[in-house]
Amino acid sequence: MSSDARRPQLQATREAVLAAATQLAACSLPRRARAIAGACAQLADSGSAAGSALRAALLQSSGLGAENIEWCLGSTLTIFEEQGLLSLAASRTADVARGDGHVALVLAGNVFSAAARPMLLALLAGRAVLAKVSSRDDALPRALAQALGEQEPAVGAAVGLMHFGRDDAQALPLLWRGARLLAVYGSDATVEALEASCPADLALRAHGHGFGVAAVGGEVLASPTAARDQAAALALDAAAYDQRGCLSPQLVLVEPGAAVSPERFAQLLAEALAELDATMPRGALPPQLAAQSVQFCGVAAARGRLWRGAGYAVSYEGRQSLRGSPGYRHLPVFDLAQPEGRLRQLEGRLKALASVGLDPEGLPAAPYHCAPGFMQRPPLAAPLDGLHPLAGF
Amino acid sequence: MTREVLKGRIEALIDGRPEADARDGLLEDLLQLQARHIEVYRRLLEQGSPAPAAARPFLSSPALPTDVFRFARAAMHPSEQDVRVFRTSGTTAAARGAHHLRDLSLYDRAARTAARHMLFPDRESMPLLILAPRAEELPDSSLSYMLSRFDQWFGDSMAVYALRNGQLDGEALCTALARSQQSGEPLALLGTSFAFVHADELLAHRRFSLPSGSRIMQTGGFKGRSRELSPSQMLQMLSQRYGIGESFIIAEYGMTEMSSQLYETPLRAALGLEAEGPRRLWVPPWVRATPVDPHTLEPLDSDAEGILRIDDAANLDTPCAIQTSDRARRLDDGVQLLGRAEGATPRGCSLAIDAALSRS
Repeated sequence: MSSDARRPQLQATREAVLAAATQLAACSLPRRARAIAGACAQLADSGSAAGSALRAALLQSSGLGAENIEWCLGSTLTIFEEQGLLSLAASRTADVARGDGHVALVLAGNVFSAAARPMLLALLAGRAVLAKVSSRDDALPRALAQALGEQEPAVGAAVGLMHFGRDDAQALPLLWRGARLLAVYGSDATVEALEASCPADLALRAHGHGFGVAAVGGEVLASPTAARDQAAALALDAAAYDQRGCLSPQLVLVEPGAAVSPERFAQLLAEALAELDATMPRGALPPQLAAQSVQFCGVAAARGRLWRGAGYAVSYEGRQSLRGSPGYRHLPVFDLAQPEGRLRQLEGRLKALASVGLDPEGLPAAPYHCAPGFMQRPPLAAPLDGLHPLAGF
Repeated sequence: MTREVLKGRIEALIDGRPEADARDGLLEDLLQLQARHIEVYRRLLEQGSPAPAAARPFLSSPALPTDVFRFARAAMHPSEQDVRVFRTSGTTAAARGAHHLRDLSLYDRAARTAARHMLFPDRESMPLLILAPRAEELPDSSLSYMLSRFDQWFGDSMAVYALRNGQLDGEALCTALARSQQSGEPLALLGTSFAFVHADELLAHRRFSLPSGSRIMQTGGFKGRSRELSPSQMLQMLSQRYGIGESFIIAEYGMTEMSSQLYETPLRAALGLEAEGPRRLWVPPWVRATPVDPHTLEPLDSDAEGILRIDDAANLDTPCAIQTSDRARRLDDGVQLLGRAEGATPRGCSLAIDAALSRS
């Protein structure tokens, strides 16, 4: 559909959502929380019609395998339970339901579940939501909007999904005009373009590029069993979403000197990824990523050790200069004995840090700090961008 | 097989001497020598190819991925024997690939032979207008080095350099173009794609009609340094701007990690030296260019799209088998480039970590 042909549809979506904003505001916080929790529970249930349809859609759009989709849906949707939502709202009463305006969202498609948090928390705060959804993957926002409507019509009607190109300058004002906040998820280029074109008085919250890092201390490497457990947890962090998210670990740092060496830990990580390859296989590797995989593995083999299977690759690169991963379950492991300041370089773009057996003081700071195994399942109250989850809503 | 013996065989192949060996056998011998003496290549062989071994005997040895040149020294000789180090473009030394040369004679021989065959087959020499930095200004640029050699081999007067300290010298550019137009003496314009785009912007409404026999060689990508044009837009822009027929505008494919260059075919065809055919890259007889499946690294027989593996016999002291991420397919007797495999989805996270780690 052409940009011009889409305009009346976008206008109609906008008008319907803004009209529904009044009913949403009249809907009490407990009712909103119940509707959100109910919608999530419905979609988390693979036996429900909506849950089944969502899984089928995600299998087509997300590029992930069925088992991975199941894990990702479960770990995302189950955090939106009623009591937790009410507690979260109570912890940030100052911003909730005061002032006017809807929340405008620009959503990305690399991690399908990233839409849930901003959409649902804006609604919890009593804000109508207009969301420009990813052309690649709008399955979850669509399913959520539908399920919310079934739970509580006033909440479902306050969500409008818009489809238009990122360069459609005429459509963008339909999204953000009158908004109290524009939250943008996407590439740095997308964020910069929107910053340049949106009104100066519109509050903008940018969620651009970022990455995760994992660090393992010698304290937990004293026994092979403990080391194996940590490796399994980190393997899950990398396997979830096929390592495509900003919370995914891009590299692993391991403290040398313990019974289990960093090199041995890398091997354990590879074994854990091999097991996950059987139970939660990687989605198909796109040809362009296959080319990057060749480069990643070549460098690994040339300067360290490489363990590789059909759906993963792990390297051990000792004290060599740090490098990242192309994603899709490629993990470089380094000694946690880097030159002073080297780790600090990671700060700024570091969104998640999983660490165990280490003093956090010596590690780069990240907005979300967790134990291995939890990088891709942050709790509801986690300040993922260093802010309270309801900030600005 | 010693290095010196191999060097003689490579020279014979580049020269097209009757006694020259067949390319594939020579490459096999070269790979065996390099497997013993290039540490990173030996490690790659020990740990297996980045993908299952190719079934074809002539491609049974894995190629070294280009990223390895960014992270490790890849050469048969120690650094004290380097006579020149060419580096890929980039913002920090750590992120730049390096080609360590112990001996420039094979590089020169390959560059001269290929350019003579593809770029200057009809003229002993001609005036050159160069839109790239001088070699003295950018000593680690293989392109600048090659163009400085072109000046010695093919220039019939001192080449005009229209790029200085990263800035286009509009006066030098216009003067050289106007001189050629007025004198009727054909001109060869040689430069980077982004420099030609900058020149196009600088020249604004000025158009030239360069004499018959003039030609353009453009090379490289845009690297974010100018607006990007598709290959067909580039051809059209250059043709209209300088009044040169599209057959006399050819792209060169070279890489810092290679000693040889591949050129597009139309100029030779237009001169009647080759049969007409689709625009494609000519592969010199001492080079093997093979599109391979990115998943298996198996060579692709048909015109299917793959990623380009280059086996360059002129890389005597540095890995001759190189696995690029450039998308390519076979086309007639050559190859056609289709761009670079950047990632299926914008890999913002890996870009972010690269940016963070390259901060100085």
